[in-house]
Amino acid sequence: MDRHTLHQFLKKFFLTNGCQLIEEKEGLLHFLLTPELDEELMNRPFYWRYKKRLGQEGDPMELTLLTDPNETAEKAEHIHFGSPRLHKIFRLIRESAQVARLYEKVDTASRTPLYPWLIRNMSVHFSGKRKRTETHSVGLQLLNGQLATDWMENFSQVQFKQQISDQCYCLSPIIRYQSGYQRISSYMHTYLDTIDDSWVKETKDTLKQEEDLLAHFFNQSNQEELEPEILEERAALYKNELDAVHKRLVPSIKMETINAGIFYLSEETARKLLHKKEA
Amino acid sequence: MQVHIKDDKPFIDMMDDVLQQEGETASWEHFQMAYTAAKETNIDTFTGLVAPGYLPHMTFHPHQLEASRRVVEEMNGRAILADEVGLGKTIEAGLVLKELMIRGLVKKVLLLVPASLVNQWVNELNSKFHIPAASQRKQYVWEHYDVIVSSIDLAKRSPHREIILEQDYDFVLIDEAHKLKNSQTKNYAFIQSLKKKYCLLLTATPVQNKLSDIYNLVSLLKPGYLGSYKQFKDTYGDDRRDAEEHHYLKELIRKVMVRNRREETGLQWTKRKVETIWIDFTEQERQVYENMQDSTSAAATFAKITLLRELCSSREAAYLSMKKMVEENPETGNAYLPVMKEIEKLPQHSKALKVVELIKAAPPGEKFIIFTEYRATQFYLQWTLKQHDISSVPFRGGFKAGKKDWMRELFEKHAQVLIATEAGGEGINLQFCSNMINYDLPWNPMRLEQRIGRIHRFGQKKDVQIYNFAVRNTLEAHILELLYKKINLFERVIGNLDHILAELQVSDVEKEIKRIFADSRSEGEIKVKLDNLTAVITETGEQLERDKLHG
Repeated sequence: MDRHTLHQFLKKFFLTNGCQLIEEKEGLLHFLLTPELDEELMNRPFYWRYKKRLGQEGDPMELTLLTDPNETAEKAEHIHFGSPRLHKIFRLIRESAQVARLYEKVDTASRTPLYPWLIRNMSVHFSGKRKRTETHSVGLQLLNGQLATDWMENFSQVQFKQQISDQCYCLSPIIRYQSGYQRISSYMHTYLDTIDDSWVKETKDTLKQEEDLLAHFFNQSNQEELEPEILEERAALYKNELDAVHKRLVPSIKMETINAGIFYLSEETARKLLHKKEA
Repeated sequence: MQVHIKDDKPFIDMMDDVLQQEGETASWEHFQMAYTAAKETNIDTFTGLVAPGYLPHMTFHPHQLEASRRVVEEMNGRAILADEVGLGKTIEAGLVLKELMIRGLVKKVLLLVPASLVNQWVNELNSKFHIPAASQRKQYVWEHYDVIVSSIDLAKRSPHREIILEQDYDFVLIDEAHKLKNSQTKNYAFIQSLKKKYCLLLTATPVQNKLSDIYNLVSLLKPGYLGSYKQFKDTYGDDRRDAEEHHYLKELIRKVMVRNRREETGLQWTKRKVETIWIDFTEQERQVYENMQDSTSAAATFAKITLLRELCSSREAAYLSMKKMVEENPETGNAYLPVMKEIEKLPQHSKALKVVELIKAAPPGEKFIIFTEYRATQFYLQWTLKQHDISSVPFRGGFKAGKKDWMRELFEKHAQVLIATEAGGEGINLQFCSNMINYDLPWNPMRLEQRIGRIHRFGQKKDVQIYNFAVRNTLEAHILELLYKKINLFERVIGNLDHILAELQVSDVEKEIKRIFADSRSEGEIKVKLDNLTAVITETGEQLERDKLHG
């Protein structure tokens, strides 16, 4: 995320959460927070507890963020990738948007059916000697089982609303949410079978080495002379260390759902965007 | 794929529940932003660090990137960073910390560094890495800031100690960690009891002499691996060489330690130019020196050697030592009274005048660092320079951190000369200056290397000029001619000297040399013995080179 994207992201985050934009210029955003965001972000729990006990409304603080590292301003803080503040904001936004039910905004005079799609966004964590995480967005049409990848990317320009547009009506899903979710999992399994797995072997070799190393240090011959409780202590330690090595080096893949939702989509939009991708 | 795949099953149940209630769910904007946030945090590559991409204003050297990558990916964030002096351990550590923060693995951080370096660390973390570090000086900030830099002495004192021990740190860093080699100290116990997930130990000299050094450092990172020290010793002995042979121990050390050597970094270093400046004592000074040398009355030969060294430095240094001896032990000390009388009559010190001459001859404004072993000399030099209109600032280990920063700044911006005593040498970076005067020579080559490392390091743009001052026909001349010059100390961008000394099991070079002077009855004997020492050092160095070539 470059700093211009970050700037836009933050602006959108605070505005859509109801904060008031006091000042904006290149590299600087100045907001009046809402009480909710103040509580989440400003780290002053006593103030809010005290106000609530008194039954009073609190005064939310202003926050000035600098997205340009060369910018300076009074009472402002630099925000950038890797700063704890940004991580906190990311966490907040992720917690607040786990599930959605959304309808495509359609301007139409005639009765238009909307098709149900299950969209599932996932982080796929590859954990071995080294770690990496892929991001996937998969959509499944819940009537005919059509599957689409990179869904969020392909549909980013479509407008969705929390209420259904006039003249539109929703078709009922044939595939249940549960089995739709499961179908996306199966698709991911098939996909994972096709990708390079040399990292698994590499990890297993390293694991073997580290186990040997650990065994060497904890199974030395001169231990018999040790006191029983020290021996016990060492056995426990050995187990801990071995667990830690396993935790780090037993290769595994974990699918974590970032968020998911049911999206009602007109046939025309679906065809246009999915077709465009194939072409 | 031969690997277990875990699915996120609870999610769909939760989603089902939410959707069954007819309430409003997330908006499209928020749904998209949550996806973006996750995607941006997900690092879709097995190799390399992401942090450098977020620090476009920094230029990292390949060895720094590789060191940080190894610490993060292969060592699981628990490591000894043991690059040689001046290769940028601070940078590597900052990069590791930044990377772990970006990956969201680290939030609460404690950095314990020498008091004189606290501000420097805070500045570098903020300006170079955009890490909002705060120094623990003004108030109790332990609980309120996430990234704290403090000196270990402050941190281990009440009430800080208790607060710190209660915190769950994600990341703890110890700079100059060789000071933790002794596991019996309070500092060691304190570090051991900190709760820490990731831990970096920084030191330029991880193994000085004894195997126990490495035992103690490794035990901080990998508690219990090496058993009790007794067990460890029983298994490996205390001889470093045996340990080198030991496959498993070597393997373990390889897993916790990163050590870059200058010669391996492939970087172009600016040159070192070394020049010896010979000084001849005046007739009067020579007389005092010889009288002192011939005095057989003094009980301790060691004391005499110290006094002779001091006299080569300044009248004041020798005089004060003798005065102290007289006060402490009038009976034996009174033997010094006549010499003290003579010293009082000396008008100046030839060496100091030579310094003035050298600095005056340099282009105007050219900066110099003068190192001396003695505080008395430091005062005297300051006074002498002032008499000749040369501006100077003093620098001592005993200064408070703030004063050190101030002196460094004064030197950079206003003064022409910085006069430092030995302890002042640690940790400050003075690469804006490229001239160094070794006014008197330490008898430990590692200390000399540390001195030179203050200016001959990353960021030094010019060739470094080193002037070694020595008075002809004195102890000092012997050390310079017979020891340092022969082992090529000044020209070799050292590196393996610490290795050599460790190999030789010479724990204290200074003592070794003193003994040579004390035990020898003639100049010839001194020469022969110093020759032997030199030969051994050189041979060991060559042997190490060969070993390296053959794997």
